[in-house]
Amino acid sequence: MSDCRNIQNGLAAYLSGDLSRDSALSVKEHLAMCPKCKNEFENIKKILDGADSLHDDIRKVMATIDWDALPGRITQAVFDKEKAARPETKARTFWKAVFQPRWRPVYAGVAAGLVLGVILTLVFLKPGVLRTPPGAKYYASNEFIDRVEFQMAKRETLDYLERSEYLILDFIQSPPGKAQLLQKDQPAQKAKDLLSKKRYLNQQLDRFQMAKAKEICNQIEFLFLELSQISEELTADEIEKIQKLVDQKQLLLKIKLLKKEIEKSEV
Amino acid sequence: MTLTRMYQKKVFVLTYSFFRNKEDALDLVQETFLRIYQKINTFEKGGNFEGWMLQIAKNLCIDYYRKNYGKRRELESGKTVEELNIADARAEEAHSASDFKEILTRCVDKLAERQRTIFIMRHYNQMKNEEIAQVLNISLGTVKSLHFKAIQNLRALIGPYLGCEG
Repeated sequence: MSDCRNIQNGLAAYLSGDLSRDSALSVKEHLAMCPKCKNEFENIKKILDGADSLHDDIRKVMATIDWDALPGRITQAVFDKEKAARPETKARTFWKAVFQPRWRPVYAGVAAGLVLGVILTLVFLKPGVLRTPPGAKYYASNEFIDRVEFQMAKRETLDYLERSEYLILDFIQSPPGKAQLLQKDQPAQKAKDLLSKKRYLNQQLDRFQMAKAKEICNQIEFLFLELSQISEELTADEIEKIQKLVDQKQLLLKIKLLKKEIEKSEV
Repeated sequence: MTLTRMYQKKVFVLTYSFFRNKEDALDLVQETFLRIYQKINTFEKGGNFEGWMLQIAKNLCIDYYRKNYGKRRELESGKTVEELNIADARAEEAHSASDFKEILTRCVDKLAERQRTIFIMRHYNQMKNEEIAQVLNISLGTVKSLHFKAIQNLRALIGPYLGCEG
């Protein structure tokens, strides 16, 4: 029985020709005298013959294939696949898909929106505008404040010059005897006021580099210093001296010129 | 081109053995040569080119088989192998050779992957055990052992059809 089992286990190898000559001979002898093993041998032979016959089927199918044309087709397919696999080709296909004609109006709209956005940002969001200090209710840019301060300085200077002009005119046009009466209380006080204003103006003139204006204003200041010293007992000689000083420096002419220049913003 | 011309039939026999479908087999031949051209730099000079090539083809076949052929054969007929066997055994009719081949191929599909590969290579491709060992990168003893197990399993599966118990 165990002999039969060994024989049956070796039948596949026997049929495949994988057994040694001695083993194959003993299997052959056993099969000749054992019908059960002979039957099993037939069954396995049928399976293996069936499997081997599939090889014949493959040959039949192979006969229907044009083997001369196949290499060309395979080579072409290989090249096509490699071409398709190249990253730059993929990228080109991608861009081609992205820039399809039907999408172009959309992209044009998006591009126009972006350009408009950039322009508006540049126009309205200049540096300083968005940098609002925390808690501040109103805020203006430094540039704006500078412009306002410059205009105010101009106006202050013009005002100062005008008032100085009137004061000097009052003073020099008065007859020597009357001048003293007129100056009793006003000119000295006015000169003092103007002097204190000049102190403020000095900063503004420095800040906005109005050098020419400052020079003239300095001369006016010198005059007013003299005037502010005027006492009630001002002598006619002293008044004459001051009037000469005004003439000498051509202060009134200078004031007029400077006023015109400041008005034209050329200072 | 020359390479394809030289080996196309050999690769086709293997791929057709796996799928027994001409179109799939030709697709796999094409895929195999594409893979060969892509990987030719990795092939060691002086090595067994044919073995290397068949190894690539076999791997592609197994992948393709796993993806596409799992239940396909059963779905095609609407019957499992077991159902076919029982129906045929009960009918007790004389079966033609083509019927037997059909049952046999389905039973081969039922085998475990390595057994099936070895059985196909051995009987459909008519490769020698040594060649199979080289292509599958396993020992000769393992090839023989797996081949033996494949036949035993086939014998058990086809038993009812043969008119005897496995």
